[in-house]
Amino acid sequence: MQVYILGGFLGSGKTSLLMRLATMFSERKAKVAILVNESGEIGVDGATLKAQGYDAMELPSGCICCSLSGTLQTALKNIKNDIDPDVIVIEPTGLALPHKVKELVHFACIEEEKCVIIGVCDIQRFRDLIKKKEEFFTRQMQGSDFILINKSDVAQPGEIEDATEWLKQRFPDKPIIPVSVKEGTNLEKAYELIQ
Amino acid sequence: MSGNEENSMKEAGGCAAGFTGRIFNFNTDAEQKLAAALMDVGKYVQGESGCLLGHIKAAVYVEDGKGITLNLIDMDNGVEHHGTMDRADEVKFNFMCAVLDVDEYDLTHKMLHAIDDSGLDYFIDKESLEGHHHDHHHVHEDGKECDDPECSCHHHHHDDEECDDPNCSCHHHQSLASMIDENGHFSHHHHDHDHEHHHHDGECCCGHHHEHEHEEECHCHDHDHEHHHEHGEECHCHEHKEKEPEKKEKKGFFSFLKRKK
Repeated sequence: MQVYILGGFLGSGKTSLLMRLATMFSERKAKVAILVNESGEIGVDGATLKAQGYDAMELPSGCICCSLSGTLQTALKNIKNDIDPDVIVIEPTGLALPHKVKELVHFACIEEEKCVIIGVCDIQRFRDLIKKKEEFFTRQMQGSDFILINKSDVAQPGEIEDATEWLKQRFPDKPIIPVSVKEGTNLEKAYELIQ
Repeated sequence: MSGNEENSMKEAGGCAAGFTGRIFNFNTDAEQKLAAALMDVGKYVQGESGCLLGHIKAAVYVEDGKGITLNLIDMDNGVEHHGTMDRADEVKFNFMCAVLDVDEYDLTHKMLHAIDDSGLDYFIDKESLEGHHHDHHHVHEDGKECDDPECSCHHHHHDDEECDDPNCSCHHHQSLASMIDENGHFSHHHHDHDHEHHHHDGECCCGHHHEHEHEEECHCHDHDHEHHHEHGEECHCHEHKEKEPEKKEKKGFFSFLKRKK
């Protein structure tokens, strides 16, 4: 069983990427389980996924990297026992620290073959985010195995290069791929990398 | 609550707010009204935080779960509409925000106002605003029931209990759930402004839309008469012509001599 954690700030496109990835896995005949977490008591992503035909388990009212850590581990065990999927895709909240989620997955003892963190950045608001929350954003990305710079279709000239440079300076060993989840640009390339 | 509660959210300076409800006679017009409500909240967040870092979302769905999602993450791009939906007599909706550097209570308040001012025929689930007070089981990390009366977990009130402690923080804000009437409408609340504010360039900046009923006096206008906002009416206070400056009697040289006499 493979586990993928989609890490990234609020509004970076994690839910859209999740839907794309789930479709890609399903097309390759993999049994996929989806787990979405929302920090508020009222969830929207679960309803969105259901509306789009995806069956997802929703964990609202807290963050799975801290306040809902026990709930996450119980949910993972239940998924393992009840569904036994080939792939679990976890979408934490946009205010979660993905490396903490990875630790919790490991301690849940679900016998995962591998656990991959896919970091997602939003090129449109990259500068604003760095300006306001650089430290937090850096912590979000530091545990990633790959970083996707999303919304490349709306990037202004030079923005992708600047963001790539910024990320390369801090995370020289991580593959960085510009993608457009909306248009499907570079998603196959990203899929091949995370496999 | 565990000691780690909301660590990462606090670390990021984020907050999440939301509630659920129903919308009646949902069609494309209602979808646009809901999108306008999201924009309204987005403008508020942008004003408070400086920029919209986060998302404002609404899911609208029918019993079998099929529906649409409205998502606002960028004020310039506007609200994204995902999915399609046929007209329905009644739909459910989830409305939530996760943003940075905004007070949770004020954000929820603004969201309620946005729905109320949108022109939608709606019903808000009061329980979805009360949830925070009911979902605490007062069990600590070790799994034991809390029996320490000094513990902060006892400071939560259940909404059917009156709080007697005037110093309790629950009195700092009026419960938002209490502002939902039996028809599921957000209404009839008083704004206890204990500060004065002024209009800039003649525009009202009190942040409230005047299309709904206010029982309060309008304190923000420096008129020399009192007026109330009536149900369903726009605020007319700006229609008053500015007082013409009092005509000052021209004082010539001879008027000075006249007074001397």
